[in-house]
Parts: sequence; structure tokens; C-alpha cells
Amino acid sequence: MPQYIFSLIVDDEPGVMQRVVSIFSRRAVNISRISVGPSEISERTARIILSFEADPKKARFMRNLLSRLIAVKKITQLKSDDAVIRELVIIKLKNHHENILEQIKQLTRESNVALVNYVKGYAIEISGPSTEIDHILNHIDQKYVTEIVRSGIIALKK
Amino acid sequence: MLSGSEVVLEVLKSRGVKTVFGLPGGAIMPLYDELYDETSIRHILVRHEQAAAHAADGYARVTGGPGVAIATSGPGATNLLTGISTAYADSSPLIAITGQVPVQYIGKDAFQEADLYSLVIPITKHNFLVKDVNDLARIMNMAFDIALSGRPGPVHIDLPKDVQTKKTTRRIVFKQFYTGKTPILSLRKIKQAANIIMNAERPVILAGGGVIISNSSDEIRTLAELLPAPVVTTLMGKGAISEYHPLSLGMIGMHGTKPANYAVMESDCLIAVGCRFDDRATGDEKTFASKAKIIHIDIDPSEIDKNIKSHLSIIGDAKEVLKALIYYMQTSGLKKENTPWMMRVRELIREYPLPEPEETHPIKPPLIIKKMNSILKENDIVATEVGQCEMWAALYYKPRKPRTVLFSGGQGTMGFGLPASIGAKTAKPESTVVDIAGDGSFLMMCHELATSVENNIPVVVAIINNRYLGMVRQWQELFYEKRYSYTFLGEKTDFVKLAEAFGAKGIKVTRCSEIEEAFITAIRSGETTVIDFEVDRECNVFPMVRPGGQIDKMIG
Repeated sequence: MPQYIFSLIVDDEPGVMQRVVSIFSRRAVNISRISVGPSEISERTARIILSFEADPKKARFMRNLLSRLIAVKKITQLKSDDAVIRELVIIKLKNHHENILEQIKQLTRESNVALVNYVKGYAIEISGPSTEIDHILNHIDQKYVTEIVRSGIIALKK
Repeated sequence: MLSGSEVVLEVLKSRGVKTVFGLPGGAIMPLYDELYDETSIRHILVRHEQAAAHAADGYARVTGGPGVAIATSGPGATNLLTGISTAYADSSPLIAITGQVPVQYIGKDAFQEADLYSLVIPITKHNFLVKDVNDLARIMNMAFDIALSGRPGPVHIDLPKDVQTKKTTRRIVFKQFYTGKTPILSLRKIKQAANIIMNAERPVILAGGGVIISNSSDEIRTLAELLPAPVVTTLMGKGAISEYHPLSLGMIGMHGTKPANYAVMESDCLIAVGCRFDDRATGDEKTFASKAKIIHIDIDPSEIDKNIKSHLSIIGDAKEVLKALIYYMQTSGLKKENTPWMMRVRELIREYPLPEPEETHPIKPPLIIKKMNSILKENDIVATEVGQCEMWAALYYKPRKPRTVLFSGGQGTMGFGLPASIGAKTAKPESTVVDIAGDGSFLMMCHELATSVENNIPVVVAIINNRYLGMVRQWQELFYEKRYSYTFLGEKTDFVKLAEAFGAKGIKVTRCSEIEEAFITAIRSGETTVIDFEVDRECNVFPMVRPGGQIDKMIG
């Protein structure tokens, strides 16, 4: 099933996530990634970026249902060909192993993933499109890794 | 400066609210203390909060305006939930106000605390928790604007006790705060739709509850006569056209009339207005109106293609869309010829009348409803409970005007009829209001007889007493090999005595010849009256379509 990404501008108030999420849970649609942050539009609004898999009919239905919510001010559908889509990953290293660093550097050079930070001997931060991040995580040596944290996606229409 | 309770009442008054329904309790006492001296708002004290919600809902359905229900926190508020859910399913503008524990106790499992904010999210159009009294006027006004705009629906306001007593520090401003997400009418689509309709040979108009809500009955009739096309309705659309009109075919669906279901299935163009294609209306979605190009007109985009795929959809208020359609068709020279289809429609009406109930003993329930048609006047109101009684009413009662028949359509809430009748009678005291009840449904809210009697809001409750949970029994008979699992209610309940215990009149009717007299006695008495019709216990509602079946394949 195709993947959909919606960017929502919502009222920044308690319970707004519950309203949005219950639209999906009631129709048994799984939200695969979700991230929330303040919006630049006003102090009273927040931006939610969420992605889910559904057939086109269901996706249209979800969008229409979200548009009914009073707390949802704006909905934009983001498509991979005309949006910047990023996920941030922090990889925590086991026993301060640095062997993995060169490996990740090599992998990032071959892809759209950027090495954004390296906390010496402790953690590596990378950022990029989710699919390419998947690729990197599949190729690094797990024995040097204790924990991997992924942010969910943030995205912006080009 | 005003207290929170004063703000609530000021907003209610500024919005023209004359009646509220409710029941006090600890966390809502400051508001009730303020109501005590209020002379311009009538408060109807119910006996169970669910009835307050249904009564406010009934009030809203007959007036089109908002209905207001008030309850206390915790169980008082959770008792409202069924009523709120009922209003939500039928798009009724209900304003539910509940007390809540003081702000500093919220989330600490205080006495009579329940998380209403979370509980009502899936069954309201929107909801609020008021934490600052200075926000209250804005929130109250928004609640009204939201409930009434676009597709109407219930709005809940959770009002902590301390917010009710605190004084505002800012001046309150009364204005419209929310204008709704108004759709812009697409003239291109109007033209496309008009061209499809004008080229159709067998057009049918399907009127749903949206027609009633948008007050577009006149436009439906005009369009029907213009084409000409027969009009079928959903349950919620009953009253959209007078059922005495020669183009009216009645209701479609599982318990629809044969002419209505056949017309839909034979149609080549179905103009569906303000309906959501509920499974009870469409039967099997794949075969529903499969020969027709479906034009779906609705104000809520999420209804488009939800259940039935349309060929063309127009988002907008039914009244505006219909006016535009009619105007376009009139100016583009519609030929008013449709003889073969009109001949077929007349043939359907002639060939497939409803089964005629005979005057036998015991009474056949449809006979009671049929007789009501000649007893009640066009402005009189019928509400129903849920189950067989409701479907007999839908089949045999022929409303002449919109907002004169009240059903719990979407939720099918047993117990809806009596409190909804009380709400309707409060709004329209000059009309006779009859609740067509089953013995099972009636018992769910029978204590509201006390509300009716003590507040002097006389309604007539016509109990079709078959001593069964009749619709379930009918399904057990047809689909579960007559295994009547827990549907027999026993014979000891004496509805006449029950009525009398509440100070109402009780009339027992066992013979067909007594039906009319009982109704006339009840209506003339001006008192709350329960008529206990002892009927044929195993009478079924026919015609009927099997669940999920094709709607022109009907039993009975």
C-alpha cells in the first residue's frame, strides 16, 4: 500500500493529539511515524507531521475526516518528489567503540544521509530520508551498537 | 464583573435559548444557583441525565436551533454520553454542559470526577474544558457557532466548579467566534450535474436528513416536479416531502417500501441529497443503484465515496446546491417530458402498496400507525423508540412536513422516544406529540413520565406492547431458527398502573375498534397519557431486506 505524509497545522492545546490520532485508530489505520513541534505561524498552533500506509480511497477519507476537526487548521499532503523529508537518528555506541564511525562515514558518502554530529566515543547522529536511513542501519555492525533512536519524520513542501 | 455561571446564562440568553434540560449535582451547583433566579430560561428537570440529552436533542430537531442539556460531573456526565452519541450520529446541534471538579482537583481522582474531555472526543463535533473564566464567554459562543454551522453536531463544555464561581477580570464580548469551514459552491459541478440529470431517463431523488437540517424541502419538491422525478427518503429524511405528494414513494432500505427500493434500483440517475448511505439504507453496496449515475450532494466532504462511490459529488449546503441546480435547469430549457418513467412510477405505487393491516384480533401493529395518519394534524409530531415500533412508524406514518418525525437513526438508541417527545413538546406546545414506543424501549426511559407530568409537558405514549424485544425476536425467527434467546419480556408489567403511578393517564387497548377513541381521549385530555396497545406478539415488520442483501430482493 502506498505511503502518505500529511502535514497538519493544529491548535496547540491539550488533547489535540488525541483528536488527530483517534481519527486513525477508529478506522484501524496505523500511524507509522508522527512528530510534533511548534509552528512558525503563531504561538497557539503546532505542526504535526504524520505518515501512514493506506489505499488511496482510505487516505482521502482520512484527510476529509481530519479536515472536519475544529482544531485542525490546515492539511497539506507531502509527496516524496516535491518535499524535503528527513528523519533524525541517534546511534548510541557500545563500550565507546569507534570502529563503526568509519563504516557510517562510508555509507553516508554513498547516500543522501548526512552525518550531523559525533559525540566522541559515545553517539553518532545522522539525518536523511527514512528509506536510506533504513539502508544504513541494516548495514552497520550491530555488535558496536547499544541503542538506536529514530525521530519520526519532519517534512517540508519544496 | 460577571461570575462564570452568569457568563453561561448571559450567552444562553444572547443565543435565544429559552429552555434547558438537566439535573443538578455537586459540581454544577453554582450554575444551578444562578438558574434559580433566572426568569427568562425555563429549566426542565429530568429524572436521568440521558433523558436531558435526548430531550435537548428532540428540541433541537423540531426547532433547528440548539438544544441545551446540563448535568453534573462524573456519573451525571457519563449518563449524558448515550444522548450525545445519538445526537452526533444524527447531526443534531446539542450543547451539553457538565460540571467538573475544581481545576486544582482535575486528574487526582476526586469525588465524582470523570475524564469527560477524553470520553466525548469521538462523539462530539468539538469539546472544551474551561480552565480560565476569562475564556468562558468565547468558548460558550464558539460552542454554539460550531454546533450550528456546516454539518451540525453536539458540542460539550466541561465546566469546573470553581470556574463557575470565579469572576471574570475582562469584559465579555458577544460575537460570532467561529464561522465554520464554508465550502465554495462549484458552478462547474452544478452544470455537470444538471446535464447528467437532464439527460437521464429515470431520475430518482433520494432525500436524507441533510434536507431536513438545511430546510430545503421546498427545493426538493420543486426539483421533483420540475424533472419530474420520484422522491425517496432515508429514515432521517422522512418529512423532506409530504408523503401524500404523488411523487413521494416513502423510505428506502432494509425496511423500505417496495416502490422506493424498486425505483432506486431501476433508476439511471440517483440524486442523493444530504444522506450518508448507511448500510441499513443501501443493503448490498455493490448492487445498490447499480444502473444509476449517482450525484451525491453533501456539506461534509468525508461522506463522499465513504460508503457508495458517486459519479459526481457536490460539496455544499443542500439548499444552495438545489437552488443552483433548479435555476440552471430552468434557464437551460428543461423539457418537462418523462412519461414512460412517470408511468412506471405510478405503476410501482399501484402494484406494490404496503401490506394492508386487517382489523383482526389481536391488533396488528401497523393498523395503529395507519389510524394515526387521520388523527394527527400536519403540525403534530411523532417521535419513536427503536426497533419494530420505529420501522412500523417509518413505513406507515405519513408526515406532511419536515421536523415532525423524530427517529434515532444512526445509533438506534432505545429510550430515545419519550424524552425526545418531551423536548419536542416543550418547543412546540401547540402540537400534539406522540411517542410510538415498544414495550422494551419504553421501559428504558419510562421514569421520564415523571418529567412529563411534573413539568406539565403532556405527551402521548403509544406502546405497541408485544411483550418482546420485537425486532430481535423477528431476527431470531427469520435467521436464528426461532430460538428466542432472552427476547421475551414477561407479562406481568402493567403499563396502565405504571402510568398512573407517575400521575399520568393509562389506557389499555385490546381491540381495533378502540384505537381511535383511545388516541382522541388521550389528546383531548391534555394530560400525559400512556396507551397500552396489546398487539399480535409475533407480528413482523415487512417488507424486509436481508442484512447485506440487495434492496429489491424483499421478504414479505
